[in-house]
Amino acid sequence: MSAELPPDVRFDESRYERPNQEWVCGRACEGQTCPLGPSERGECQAAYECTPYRKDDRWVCARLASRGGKCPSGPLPDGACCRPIIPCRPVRSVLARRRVVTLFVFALALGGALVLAGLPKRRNLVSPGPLTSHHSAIDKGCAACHAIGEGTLADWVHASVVSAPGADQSELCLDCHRQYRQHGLNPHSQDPQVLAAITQRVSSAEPSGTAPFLLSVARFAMGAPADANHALACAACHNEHRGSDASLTAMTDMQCQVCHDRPFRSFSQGHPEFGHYPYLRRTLLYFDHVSHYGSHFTDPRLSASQKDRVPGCRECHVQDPAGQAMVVRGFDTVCAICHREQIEDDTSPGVPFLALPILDLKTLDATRIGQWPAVFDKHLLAAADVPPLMRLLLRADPEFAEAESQLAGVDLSDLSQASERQKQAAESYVWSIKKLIYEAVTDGQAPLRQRFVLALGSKAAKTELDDIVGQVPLPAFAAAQQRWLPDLKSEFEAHQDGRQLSLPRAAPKGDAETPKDAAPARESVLAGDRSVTSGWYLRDVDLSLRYRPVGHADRFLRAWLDAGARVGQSSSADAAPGSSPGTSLTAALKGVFHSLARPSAVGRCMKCHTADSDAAGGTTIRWLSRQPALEDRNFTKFSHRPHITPPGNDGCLPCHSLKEASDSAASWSLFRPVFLGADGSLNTNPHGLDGNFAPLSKAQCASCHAPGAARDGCLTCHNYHILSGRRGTSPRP
Amino acid sequence: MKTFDSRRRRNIRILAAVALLLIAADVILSVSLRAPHVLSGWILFSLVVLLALYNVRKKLPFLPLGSSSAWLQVHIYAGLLAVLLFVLHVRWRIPNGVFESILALLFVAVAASGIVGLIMSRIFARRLTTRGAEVIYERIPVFQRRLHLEVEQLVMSCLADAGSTALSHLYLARLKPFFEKPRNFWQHLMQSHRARHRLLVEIESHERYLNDAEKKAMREIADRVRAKDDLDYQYAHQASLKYWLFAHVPLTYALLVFIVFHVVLVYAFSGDLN
Repeated sequence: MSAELPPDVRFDESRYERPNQEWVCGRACEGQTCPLGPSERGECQAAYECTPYRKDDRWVCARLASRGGKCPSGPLPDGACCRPIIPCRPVRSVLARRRVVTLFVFALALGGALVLAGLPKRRNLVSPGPLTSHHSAIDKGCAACHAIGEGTLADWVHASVVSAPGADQSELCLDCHRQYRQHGLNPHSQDPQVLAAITQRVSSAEPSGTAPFLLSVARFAMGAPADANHALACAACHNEHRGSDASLTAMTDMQCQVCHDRPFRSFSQGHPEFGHYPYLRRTLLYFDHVSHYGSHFTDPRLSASQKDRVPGCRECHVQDPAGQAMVVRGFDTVCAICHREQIEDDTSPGVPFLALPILDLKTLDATRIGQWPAVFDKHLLAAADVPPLMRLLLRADPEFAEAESQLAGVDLSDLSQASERQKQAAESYVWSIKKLIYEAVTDGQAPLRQRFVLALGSKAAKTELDDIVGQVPLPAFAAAQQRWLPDLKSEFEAHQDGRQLSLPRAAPKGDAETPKDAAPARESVLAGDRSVTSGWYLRDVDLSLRYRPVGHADRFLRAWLDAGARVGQSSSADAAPGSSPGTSLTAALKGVFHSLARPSAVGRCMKCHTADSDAAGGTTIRWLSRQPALEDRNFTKFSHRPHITPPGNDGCLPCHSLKEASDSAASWSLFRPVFLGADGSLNTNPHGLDGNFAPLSKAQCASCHAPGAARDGCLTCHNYHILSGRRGTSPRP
Repeated sequence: MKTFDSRRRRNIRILAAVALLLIAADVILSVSLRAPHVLSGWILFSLVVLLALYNVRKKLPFLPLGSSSAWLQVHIYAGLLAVLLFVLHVRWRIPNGVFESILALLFVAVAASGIVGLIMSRIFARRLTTRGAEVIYERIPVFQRRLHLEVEQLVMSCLADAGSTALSHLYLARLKPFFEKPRNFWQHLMQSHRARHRLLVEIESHERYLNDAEKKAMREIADRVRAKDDLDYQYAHQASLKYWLFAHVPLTYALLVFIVFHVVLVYAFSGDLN
């Protein structure tokens, strides 16, 4: 077709076009452009087709050949062209129109952005997306998480050039997530020293695995994003504004491992074996599964009803409400079947609280010590020493502590070889005991409370003091005084006044009649040994006031055990002679603890409950089995609910199998030392391993948790933020 | 001298290598918990600026900034790289904030118009050489008017000589609208001949009503119809090659505005530790 085109149309022969000019002739689209074209300002310049020139005396047409050549009419007589051009309305060229559109769109975008930033609800508009459902209820607006959140556009520009004003972004996160306030931004929210210790332990114990190639490259190129001493921003792992259903904790396994010194490919390839997990420490209750199932539950002495109630796994262990941990049911549900009688053992005389020691009345001057019961038939079991609880109260009296130090190694029942000084100390010893009883009888709880406060120290909680003091039976004190020291009031007042005592009446024989002014409860208090199965009673055979526990979880015994445990038990119970009063009281308190903490002691508390030593040198008695707290987060998590599919024991035994070839004897030698020393004392080291169960095998978990099957990512079983360390315990792996 | 294909293969290899490098860097940064969107964002911003500079370069032909052809090659491959970086930057998800959605839509519009323009420049240029004459876009109206006048003169001469109105009726009803302005724009882009065929068949069907002189004129008119249709074909393709830039260029500047705004927001709201 090119051949058919006229010359003025063909691209290589037509007039040169200037499409980059701003304006074009308004008739261009009609193909009737004028030769002049519009001006630079878009004005039509059309006038006439030519400008005639004068030749001699004639006007000659000057129209170009390309426009048709000389016209037949020729110029007018006045020299004007006879062919005027009709003016047009110039239009913009394509390029110019594009430029205008570009400027318009640019202005629209700029204006739109500025308007968007200036609107009152701009935070909703500039937000990169909806928050997750966890954060969507925050009503403080952007400022809750962004320091510049409520600023203007100028503030935003300033903050983007310099650093954001105010608190760091992650610090704002911690304003709400206060549980991570202390070390929240450190790796694993852990104290750097704790984490360094864990790292060292794991690094030395585990062989190096084969890391994924990408992870190796990333570690080589970039290194770890943070070490134990450096903070890691929350946003490094938690990405917000991705919608209400987005996960804030989604991480890949490689991201989890980028800080770790021992990376590996996957759970099934390279993950270390579990070691002793989950039996990383002994249980909080001393319960030997092997001996219970191996011998106790099969003991022919069990009654028929007891045999019927031999528990399986699910009778003792139930899921917590969250379905995570298996917790132990209460004492009354299971243990009481066999162990209630041991606690309420009425064949045991109970805990002696007050007891009058045997004195050598032949040697001591009766006019100096006053009335004191002599050993008659009913007093045959009386001891030559005071019980630990009474010693603790007496040591709050400085005179007693002084006398006791001078009587070290002296038998009070035989003072025939004692020196005068020791005899005087014995007299002081006696008057301290009488003072204790006198104060309790005449002044009630107040003096006793003062002594307890001195004895237990400032750490004693008010509730603990209330449990101890409130249960001391003042009527029993009065009854004991009436029975064994009937003239105590007159004697003690005379002694206080420095008057000479008269020869005391005949010593009480322990079978004195019940005083008529005793409290109403005295009848039961003074009843015979076996008639009072729990609570307080007087025991004539050893001149003692005793206590039998009132069932499981007895508050009185528990309060004393807690008080004694707090001071620790590492040193001996007795203070060295001449020690300070504080040391003396501490030693007495330890003595109390030792007397109550033996597994065979009254109440059998420590037969099952364990005591863990703590970093402060004290001991904490574990009164409860493990109670998982919602805020408790360890390195490892495990939900029992989806794993226990078969009902009954079959759901537990695949993972928690008793050690093979274990029998009661083997268990005794293996399991008992975890809780008790060779001498029967408490083992307070909590890190002993539970020896009942065979360790878990990783292969067993990996049989389901593998690629293409159940999830096998790091976060399936591990937490990143660890919180258990904040409560004074070391984080569990 | 390198052929077009060899140059394209070389450029694609370079593009693939750089793309792999960027993907690897993104993955490594992501694995290292190092905010890969910062790197991808800044590279993307730089690329968009570089791409926008191509338009500036065309306005400064007198400066020794390299040939326009070289700039076009850089523009094409940098644009494709920008698409990859955009996908990496948004982490393969659709933004759901108002501002970010606008920004993303702008980028998608610019990228899509660029890709459409690239495809058109490759396909349409070839088409322009296969049909019709090579007419300068600005001269198309001239030729179109000339054809219109020729047809009008043929009809008028028949009307005067034969006194029959058959041809003039056909002219008024079908030919005049056809020759007045470009027609069948989209059908030409779709390479459709249906409209041209239909009109020619219609012209042919009128021959039985015409005398010999009119038949001769009608044949000449049919030739003009073919020429006009070829001219429309040229117009449709050349106009497309010009007007797609009405979307691509203005949206690029709007995109730049929103990118700057986006950078301000990101750095203002991310805080120090991020």
